[in-house]
Amino acid sequence: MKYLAATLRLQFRTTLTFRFDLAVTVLRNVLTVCCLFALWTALFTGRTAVAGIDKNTMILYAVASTILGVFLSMRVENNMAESIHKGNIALMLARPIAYPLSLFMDAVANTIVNAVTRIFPYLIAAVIGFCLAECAGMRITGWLVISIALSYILMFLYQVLFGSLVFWTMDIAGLIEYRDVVMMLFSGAIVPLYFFPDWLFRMAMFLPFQAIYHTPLSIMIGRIDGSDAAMAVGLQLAWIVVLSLIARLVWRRAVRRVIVHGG
Amino acid sequence: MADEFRVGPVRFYLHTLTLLIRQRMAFRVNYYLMTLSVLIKEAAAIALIGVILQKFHAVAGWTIWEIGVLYSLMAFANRGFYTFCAGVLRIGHMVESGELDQFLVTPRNPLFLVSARYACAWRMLYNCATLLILAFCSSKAGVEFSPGNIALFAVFAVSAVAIHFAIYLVLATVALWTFRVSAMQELLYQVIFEYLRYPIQIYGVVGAFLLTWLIPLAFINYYPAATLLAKTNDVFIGPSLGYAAPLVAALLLFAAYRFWNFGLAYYKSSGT
Repeated sequence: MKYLAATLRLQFRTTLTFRFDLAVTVLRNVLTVCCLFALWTALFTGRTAVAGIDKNTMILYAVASTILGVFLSMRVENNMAESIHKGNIALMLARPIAYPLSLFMDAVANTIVNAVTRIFPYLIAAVIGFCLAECAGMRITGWLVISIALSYILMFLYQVLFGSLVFWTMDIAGLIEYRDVVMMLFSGAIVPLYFFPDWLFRMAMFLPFQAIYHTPLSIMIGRIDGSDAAMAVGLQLAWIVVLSLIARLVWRRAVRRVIVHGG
Repeated sequence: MADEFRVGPVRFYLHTLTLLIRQRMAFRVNYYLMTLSVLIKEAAAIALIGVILQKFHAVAGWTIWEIGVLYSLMAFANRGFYTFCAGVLRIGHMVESGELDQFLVTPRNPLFLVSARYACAWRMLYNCATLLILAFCSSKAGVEFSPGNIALFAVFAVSAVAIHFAIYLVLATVALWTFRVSAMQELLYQVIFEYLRYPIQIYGVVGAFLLTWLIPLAFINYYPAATLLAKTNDVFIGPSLGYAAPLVAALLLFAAYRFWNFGLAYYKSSGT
């Protein structure tokens, strides 16, 4: 009886700390959504539309981008760096499953956990927010779903490529910062590429990063649809092919380096 | 060990910082890469705000360079906090693992020891990077580099670091009752790093009120920036409130330290 009581108390406490964390996370997400609202509302005062985007569309874009960011957050490089530091990499390479594939599985598992603990609270916050603002104009189409899936693969490839650098540099923290900066600037994650000056917009379109955020978000706000959407998704596919080829090449060389280390 | 205690706290602290820097220099290339990335990251963040502003012209009456000052004041203080006293951030973990107990049985002040041990001194170069950005934005925004302004900036910077420290210390004290505060810490970081970069009046009267009177984070950068930039017309409450920053910092520090001591008196180790 005493044991049962103790177990129950323990269980209750665990749930409670979990709930507390969850409550704080929800609060954080509500604040994020509020902040995006506040910022873009302040910016749009006295304006109806800028670069063809009105206030509500922009808020939708910003919130969706934040949620997409959580969906795309995987710690592939950290995983790779850790297994190299600890020497697990030898084991990983000896496993019957290809290491990149196991990395991908890790990433997917991570995303699923994220979906429950982080995306769900965001969605609650976002729904509350949009109900308040009567934000309309979100288009969920087949293209959007495909394009988000492709973004996920692109992000994974990009991280594997970056993570492979750890075979040469041995530490990744500094490099991840650069990856984040490039991503922040050229993907359209924080500021839509439509607001960029013309030359910068054209430059960004030549880089693979726009395929990760800009494409699905543009489809979502209805900025591109029909054949344009098909083109954009095709471009994503093309980038996937290019990046996987490069990743393959880099990966082969990297693995050779491991053998050198271990030999 | 006995010798260690004969040195004064300042020398002890500096000595620890030197050791920490040496430790970090083991990964020299990565260290320089990190420093450069901080410079690029701050510049990129401001550039992005610049991209927005070339379409929208101003946020609540603040121009790009003014926002740059606002942003880099916050970044400078935030990085300063991490460089010199980020140890408070770890107290929650130390309670859980029982590591804190080691610090409680030495003759030195435990808070001082924790702060010195987990200071991230190698980040000093990051601070320099942020300072460069701040100087650049300030000159663009028309802030005069007079001795008075530089002294004022120094006071504001120290106050801002102190406000950081005090607020995180309150959280650390809450952690003494074995509450997990990591989520709260993340929330606080997000508020400071993401929201304080814009003038607080965009958050409406409620937001500005909360950030001024309830959790006075606006004293980290908003009021000081308003004072340095001599903003007059569009500042919530008034630009001279910047001069209150050191006072706010001192009060907060005092209250947080009292609370910490109160918490320690009731602290029971987790026993691990």
